[in-house]
Amino acid sequence: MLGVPRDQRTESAECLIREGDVVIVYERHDRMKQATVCKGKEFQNRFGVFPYCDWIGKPFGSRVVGKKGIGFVYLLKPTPELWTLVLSHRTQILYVADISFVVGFLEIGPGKVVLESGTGSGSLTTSLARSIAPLGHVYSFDFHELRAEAAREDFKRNGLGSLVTVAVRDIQGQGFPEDLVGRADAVFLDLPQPWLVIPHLGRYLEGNVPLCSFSPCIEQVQRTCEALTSNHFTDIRTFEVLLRSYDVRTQTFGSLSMTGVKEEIAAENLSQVRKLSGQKRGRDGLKQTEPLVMQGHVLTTEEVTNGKECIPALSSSSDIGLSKNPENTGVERNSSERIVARPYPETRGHTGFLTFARQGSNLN
Amino acid sequence: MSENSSETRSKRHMGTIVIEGSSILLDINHGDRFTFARAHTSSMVKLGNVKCSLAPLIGCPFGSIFEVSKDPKGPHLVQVSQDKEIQSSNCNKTEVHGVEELDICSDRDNRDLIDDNTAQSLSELEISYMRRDGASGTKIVEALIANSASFQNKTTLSQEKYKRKKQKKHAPRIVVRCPSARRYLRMDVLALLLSLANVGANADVLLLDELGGFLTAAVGERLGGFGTICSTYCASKVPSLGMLGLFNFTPCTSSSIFCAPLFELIQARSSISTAEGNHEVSAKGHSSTEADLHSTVLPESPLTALLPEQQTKIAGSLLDESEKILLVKGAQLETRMSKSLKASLIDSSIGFPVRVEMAAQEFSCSYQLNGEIEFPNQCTVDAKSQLQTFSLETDNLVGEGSIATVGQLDVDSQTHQLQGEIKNRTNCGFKGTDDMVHTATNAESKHDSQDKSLRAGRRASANQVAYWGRHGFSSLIVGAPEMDPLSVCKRMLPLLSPSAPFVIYHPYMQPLAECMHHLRKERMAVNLQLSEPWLREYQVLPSQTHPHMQMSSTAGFCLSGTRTV
Repeated sequence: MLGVPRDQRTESAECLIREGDVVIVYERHDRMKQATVCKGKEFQNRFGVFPYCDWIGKPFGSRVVGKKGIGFVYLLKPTPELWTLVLSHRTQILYVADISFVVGFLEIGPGKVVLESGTGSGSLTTSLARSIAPLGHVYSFDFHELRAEAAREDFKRNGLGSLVTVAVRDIQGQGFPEDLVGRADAVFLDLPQPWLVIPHLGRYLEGNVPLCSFSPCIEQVQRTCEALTSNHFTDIRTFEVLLRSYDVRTQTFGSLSMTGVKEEIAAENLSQVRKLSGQKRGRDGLKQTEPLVMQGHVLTTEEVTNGKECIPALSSSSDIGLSKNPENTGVERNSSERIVARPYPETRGHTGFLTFARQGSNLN
Repeated sequence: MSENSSETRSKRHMGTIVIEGSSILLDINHGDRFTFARAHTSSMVKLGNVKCSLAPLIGCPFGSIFEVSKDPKGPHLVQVSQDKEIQSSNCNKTEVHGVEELDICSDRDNRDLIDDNTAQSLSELEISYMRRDGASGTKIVEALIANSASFQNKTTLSQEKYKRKKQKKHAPRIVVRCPSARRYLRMDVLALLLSLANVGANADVLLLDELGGFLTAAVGERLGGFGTICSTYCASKVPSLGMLGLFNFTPCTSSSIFCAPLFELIQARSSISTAEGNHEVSAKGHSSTEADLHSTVLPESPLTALLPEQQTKIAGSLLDESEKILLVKGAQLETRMSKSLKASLIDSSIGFPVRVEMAAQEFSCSYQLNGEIEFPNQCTVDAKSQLQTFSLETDNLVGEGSIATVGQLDVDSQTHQLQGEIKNRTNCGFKGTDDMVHTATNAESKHDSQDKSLRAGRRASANQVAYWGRHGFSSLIVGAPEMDPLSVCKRMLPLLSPSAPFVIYHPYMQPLAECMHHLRKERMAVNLQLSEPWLREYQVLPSQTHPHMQMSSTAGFCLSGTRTV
């Protein structure tokens, strides 16, 4: 998953898929899975069957077709952001909005040592490992032995084994291990009751080391902030981060004629297009692109798959010929296709509050 | 990881205290104003209407708070403890954050408050007398509280606000902070860009940074020297990346930040097999092919070709006949000796200082070009002629405009004859004649300053550009509000290696929506996402928890995706 120093790079290691590699299989928008390449086995999804041996030797980023030419997927190189979207959820995880903010605000960079509790499913941990590579380390703790082991395996598979140490420990009850005193450059807590740990964190945070605590409930945040204040922490700040995603599509809009009549022409064209394109529907996950001929002019139709709907859209290229169509006299160009965007109605909402603080610096 | 804790702690302190000469960020009155400053004993800062020296800040840890204190010698900064509170007998509580203080249930409210400026009995004149007599800001604020008729009747929260307001005016405070790139763009947006672009060790990040250079700085901070950054530009003049100097980069980090014009990168990428596609190569008598150039091993001591204090003549035409450029008459070239000591992280090439003297007969002025000859990673030794080929690159030499002189020189290791061709690039140029004689000597001068030869944002060498052309960049970040994102994508996505992530930041959504639509249509990328980051800060206090009243409504949009083959 991580970049390799230049002098150790070989063409194949960087770009080409090999046996044993973890691959992100991109099926369509909002649908990705992880796969480990294993000769002789196959990857199956609703679109087709994909033998792994077909993938070996191909560069990451390739589009591969399934058996008998049915179905296709893209094979992507794992990054911590993609991993967050494909990992198996053993617990509720953090997503890129919170993760990126934490890494940025805690000023995590190469060589730093980060303490984390709890590991959970390893979503944040993977990003932390990427940020501290190659010389830093992440000490991650979880009180659940099986989950800790699953996380360890994930890190190993992704080549992060040397950067992350996962230990089974109840941080809330026992605090961090003694041998990590004075070694941390940042501490992250995702605990049900972080205020129990805060009074004991002083020694680990000496030297203006920043702390972050993640809690879904406002009551937890209040008790955490109280504990921080009474333990002489400073720069206490609480945030909420969200990402608003936009749905981008093309759409025709009706317009009114001089007499106030709604122009129906564009809609007619659209239904014609729909009829014709229906016949050309392929069995792939993504619909095929087919040229259509209408009234002697070539139109390119294309269906843009996004979200849950598929909308047939006319290409915005200038050879559309719509305005030349005899049926369309009087239709303004601007009543045809436009690229529009609006937020998705359903979106990921609240995950949690992020509270940051620093141990007060000592005066000489 | 086996260092003992005190060693680690002191090591960490090195990065967390103010070092003399370093760049620092002054946070005045808790976020009211931010200024950059240099931590010199002679630096001053203006607080209110007094100027104070920054000398007391040197050696203190970041996060330390300072206040102005008057004494006979003049106003100066003293460090204060953050626990220090303004004491006031009128204050009706002991603990600000004690759970007992439930402001909502208190019996005080503002129903009797008349806002007509008569509550304060201390006059402006009396306050100025106090100041003149050396009263500290804190004392003045305490006096104001004592003389306020309405203070007693204010709610606790109101009293706090009053105290804070007076304090900001009469006892301003400075918090010294470490400069960090996250203070420019809204911090969540910047952090998101870095994550979406998978900025991590050993990355080769391509940047189109038209935001003043701080995107470059942020990526530089995050890479910490492990990897390379190419801040590219499309204008003919190199954009100023002066901001990079404000971030106290280590030489390691500085040396990983390059700039290169976009046309060069595109050329290198489209002609992947030719490394010197951008340079006029006509090595006279040199018989190796370009392929050879990349197949041999770096000689053990390439410097033996140029012995110290030996004059080596270069004969040959300075420029192609077809490329004559006019010299600005009378231009004096700056002489600068810089010893280049490249860190092992960069490109495995060893820089070597060379003084090239060129006598321009036509204009009767002699000038010297000082620069570096970079020995490429692989250079070839032709057994017959014993020529070693080096590429010459000097940069930023002239007072006006910038000259980049590039070329290829062949050195005969026997006769120490150098020959080759040099071409001038960009603004200022000179007219060449066939009779120009170039002499090259090597000079073992000391560092002028390591910063200059490894300064952040210096021009990438031909080798470096060729490397990026061959392998592609591992990710792309674009922050160019005045460029059309689609056009940028069409030209720059091909520069990425396959399956590389990219993210484009833009203040407006519609251009990104159009770009996204076309990328999808042309199948140039997958996992496309148009996002708007949203950030809200909360005030968390007992019974007073609510989001801040001030909020940033928007800070731009990001289009992210992964390049497909």
